[in-house]
Amino acid sequence: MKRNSTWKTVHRYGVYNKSTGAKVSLTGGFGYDYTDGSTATRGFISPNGAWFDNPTVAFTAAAPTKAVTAQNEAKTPYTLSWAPGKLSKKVAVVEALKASGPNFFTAWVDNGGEVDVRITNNGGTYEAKYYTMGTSTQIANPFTASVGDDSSSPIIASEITSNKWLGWMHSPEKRTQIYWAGGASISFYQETNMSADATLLGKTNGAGNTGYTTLYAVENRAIADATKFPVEAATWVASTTDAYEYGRVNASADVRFYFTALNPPAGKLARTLYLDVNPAGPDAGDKAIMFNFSANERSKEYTSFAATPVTATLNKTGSNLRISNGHTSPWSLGIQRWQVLLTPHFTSGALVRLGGTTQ
Amino acid sequence: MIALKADGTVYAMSEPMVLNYVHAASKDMNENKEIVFVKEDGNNHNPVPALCTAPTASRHYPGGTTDVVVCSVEPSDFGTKTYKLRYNGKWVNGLPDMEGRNSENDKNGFRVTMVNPKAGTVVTHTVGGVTTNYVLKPLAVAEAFLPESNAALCNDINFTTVAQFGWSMSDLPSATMIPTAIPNLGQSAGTSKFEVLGRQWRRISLSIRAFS
Repeated sequence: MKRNSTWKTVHRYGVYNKSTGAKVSLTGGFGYDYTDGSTATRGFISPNGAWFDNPTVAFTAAAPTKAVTAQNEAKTPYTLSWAPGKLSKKVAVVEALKASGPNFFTAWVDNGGEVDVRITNNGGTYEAKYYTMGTSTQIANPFTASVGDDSSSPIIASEITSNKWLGWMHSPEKRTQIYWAGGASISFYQETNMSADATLLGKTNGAGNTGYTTLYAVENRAIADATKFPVEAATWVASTTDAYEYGRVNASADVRFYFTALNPPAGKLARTLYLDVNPAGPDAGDKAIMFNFSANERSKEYTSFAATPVTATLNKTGSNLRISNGHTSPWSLGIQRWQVLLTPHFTSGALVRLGGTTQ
Repeated sequence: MIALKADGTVYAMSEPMVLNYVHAASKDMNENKEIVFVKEDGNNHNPVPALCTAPTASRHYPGGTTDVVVCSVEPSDFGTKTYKLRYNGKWVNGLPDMEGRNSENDKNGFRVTMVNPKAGTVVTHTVGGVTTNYVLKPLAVAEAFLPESNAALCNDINFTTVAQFGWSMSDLPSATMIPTAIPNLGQSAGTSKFEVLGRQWRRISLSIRAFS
């Protein structure tokens, strides 16, 4: 070893305002201690969700909260509140590409798998070329389909107009899917978590608005099939429909949903999206948009919220709940229950609309 | 998942702050250094295959079957890439890192962050078209000695005498140089506290006698 040369790895950075020197203060997540039965263990919560060191912990509709103690000097007590899904607001953002130098994206192509896509401004015309990832080796013919994609003829706007699928790419910088229509900008969705929104969670009084917020689907193909929800494990495993399509209905624009507050209407779960089957507000026939079970990826067990654990393989090809092959990330079980699209014009008391999608 | 405070209100977490970092080797704490490590073949993102050897079919982690590759990384490998970092109040995420091992025979790996901006590196945050400059400051840094490729440089090292370590016995501190903790009786205003101290001293002296 060289005693005068080391490789430094930074495990934690602080962020400070360059002008004032003030440390940027954000309210982030925190680590916590909790008791699982008689076992003391720990976890942490962040904007991405909560982590429990003991993987057997599962919230249920019957036990949706857990008391924890923050790992700080004051040992601040908190109550973690489970919800069967996550409500998001998506806002479309348009951003200009760099006018000089390559703009880096990635995409999957027929001949090369996952590759780099570099979009550059060539004298006012933006063009995309495909490269083997991390190299300067351009892929001469990335697509089997007959599109103008050889080395001498990169992808330009007219090509995307004819083959719109070409515009979909992933941005490693933004960590999201983007769309390039061939011009000087890209567009993508900026997503904001609304599950902890004080206005939504604080709905307690008001005519027709007791403990919930009404939402409407803005487009067809919303998750509005009342016969599918809440989703039972056995039904889910037996279904041949993949997760994205499950529960969707054609011609479902303007179908009514509601999102319950912290103090929900009687008989309803807090912070849960319901399909308002009889569109007159909460009643017994409404359906919670949720899985009616939890699953443990490690033990391959699922637990119905109404029954005892069942050891089974939740192997459902093409779904977010395929847990038998070990490749599916566990958070698909814990977070991606449902996701709705709110318009950017979200204001207190205003009509809020959604485009329903399951993820 | 949300956390509720004792009064029933929601513990509001700030949206992570997205910071724009444009890399340059000169901004990196490891400028002009190279780290070499072994990893299993398969993850082609960190680092990219161009920084690694071809998979070696005869080399695997202990008990494993996946071929390993040897990667050599230095700050200049990342050119002038732009990274969108996320700061959540405690951690800055988004710099490329991965787990490697010194050799395929090692049972344990270590986490390598391959891009490590220096203290004072400027990052930007843009909201509504307004850009504000921020600086990064490393608060927790780990260091790993880099291997010396020229083994011959170690040939002259001989540890048979103390002098060859570069110091002598006289450099060691003597017992008189080590301060002894003495109770500050002047600050023990109450009689009762003085008596407690007295008992402690008696207990210490008894212990000494017992051992002698």
